[in-house]
Amino acid sequence: MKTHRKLVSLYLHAAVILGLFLAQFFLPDYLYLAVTRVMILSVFAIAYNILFGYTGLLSLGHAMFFSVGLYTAGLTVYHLEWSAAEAFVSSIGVGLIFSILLGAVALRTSGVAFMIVTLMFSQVFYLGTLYFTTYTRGDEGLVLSEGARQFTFLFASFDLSDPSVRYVVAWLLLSLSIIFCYVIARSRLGRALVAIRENETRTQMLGYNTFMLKLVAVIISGTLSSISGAAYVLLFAYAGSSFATIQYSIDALLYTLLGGAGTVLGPVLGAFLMFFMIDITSEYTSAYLLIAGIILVFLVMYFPRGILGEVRHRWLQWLP
Amino acid sequence: MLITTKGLSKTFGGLAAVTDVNFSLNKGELRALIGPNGAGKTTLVSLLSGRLSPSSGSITFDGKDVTKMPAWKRVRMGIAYTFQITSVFPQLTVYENVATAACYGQGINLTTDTLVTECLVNVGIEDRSSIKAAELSYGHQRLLEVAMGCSLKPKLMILDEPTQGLADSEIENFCELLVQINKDTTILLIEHNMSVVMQLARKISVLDHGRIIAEGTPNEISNNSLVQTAYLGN
Repeated sequence: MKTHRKLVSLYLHAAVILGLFLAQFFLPDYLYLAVTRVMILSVFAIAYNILFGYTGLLSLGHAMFFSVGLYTAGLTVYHLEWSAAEAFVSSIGVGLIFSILLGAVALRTSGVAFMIVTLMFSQVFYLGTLYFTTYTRGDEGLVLSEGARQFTFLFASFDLSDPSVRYVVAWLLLSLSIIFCYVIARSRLGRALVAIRENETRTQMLGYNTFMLKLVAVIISGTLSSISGAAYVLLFAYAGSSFATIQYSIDALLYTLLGGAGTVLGPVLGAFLMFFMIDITSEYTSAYLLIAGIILVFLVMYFPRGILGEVRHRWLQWLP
Repeated sequence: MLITTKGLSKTFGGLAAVTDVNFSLNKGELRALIGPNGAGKTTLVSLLSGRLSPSSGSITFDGKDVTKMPAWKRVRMGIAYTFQITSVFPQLTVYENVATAACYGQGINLTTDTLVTECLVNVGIEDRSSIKAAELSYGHQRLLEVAMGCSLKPKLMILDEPTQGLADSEIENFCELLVQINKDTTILLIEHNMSVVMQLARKISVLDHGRIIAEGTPNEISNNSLVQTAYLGN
């Protein structure tokens, strides 16, 4: 029975990955670009969920990790004329360093204090992007040239301004993130993180080094967020200060809450639903955020676990 | 000697919770720690388990100075602690609770699955292994805690008022369980229920106002005038 459920769960996640791949052949033009963008934001949400959903740490500073990746890749390509691949790899390294630093400081606090410390760091980074306007061009932002976004891989050359290349790159990144999160959720590390979320004092008194485990969670979550930010700038050729605002931290939180915190696919579902909710309501009214807000209030009232969280609670206990 | 403290003190601001305690436990003992409310019992065992760090004094466990060692490392060395207030993982199943506990056990050659099953069978809740801990009765949650402690295969198990809130019939089974566990584990038991203490402990330590005022067999303790004063007043 147990192995049977494991298989069903594997097939389910594989089907979602396959479905997103096949979608590119059916999507109308304008959705094609939108889905590409939402897939990258889904990677960001998956990263956020590893810290919030599994470990139980609510960060309001993830916009910083996202924009650390965004700016590392954006600035190096724009000013230093690095290749897309070099910029991407270096943003992973810089994201890693930021995650370690923020984790080491912010994890000395917990609860509301943790939210505030992460928020403050993120605000400092945001103000930094405005302060160094000479390099970042602040709100106006940087636009990468088409030539800067070519790269060669296995002797074939790709152009990141080509929509179908962009789609496949975003899909690949999202698929790897889903698989990565799935493996973590099933691993000993994932179970330890859930134990910390459920009862940290107890976990510590069972021999777990909870500080180190939480630091690992911040590092994984922060670095993956930076990867999504780097992918964003390389695919869409734009980096501006607005990505470092608290709005992007809140978005990641909302995607996760809506889809189901602590589920692998929840943040992905949440990102897609939020996107379509805003997309559809904005066709009818300029007060689309109000409608989105009301829908969210209802969700929190009747589905506090989020959509997949509720599905897991009621029917599919095996869902990772 | 399994654990020894020398001049152990803990103050909270101006309040001395534990003062100059020299305490030791031999391997294989089942020792009861008693004392009136506010005597400092929980503070003392928190110092032993590492949840609190002492203001002064030292703690030696299994031949090593552990005074400055963080709690999670002491657990890995073999000190298991069950909380006074039930502390389990409410949203995880009973099985998952014990499996989480079983990770850092001492010299275990069994697979996790065998170990978890063994511990659940020993405390008698194996038939509930797949339900959530939150859905267990209070008495069963206490048994789950003990199962989690056992799965660590500790050298020393500290139980903080384990029978509190249990029905009389449950207490009897619980005592039998402790006798079973004591066959290969040293136990330090904080307990208010005197019939449990008298039945189980071969030696009792009495704490009052943060100091150990008496130590001896159940008989000696119940006839000790200092202890009677501490409990009943002059």
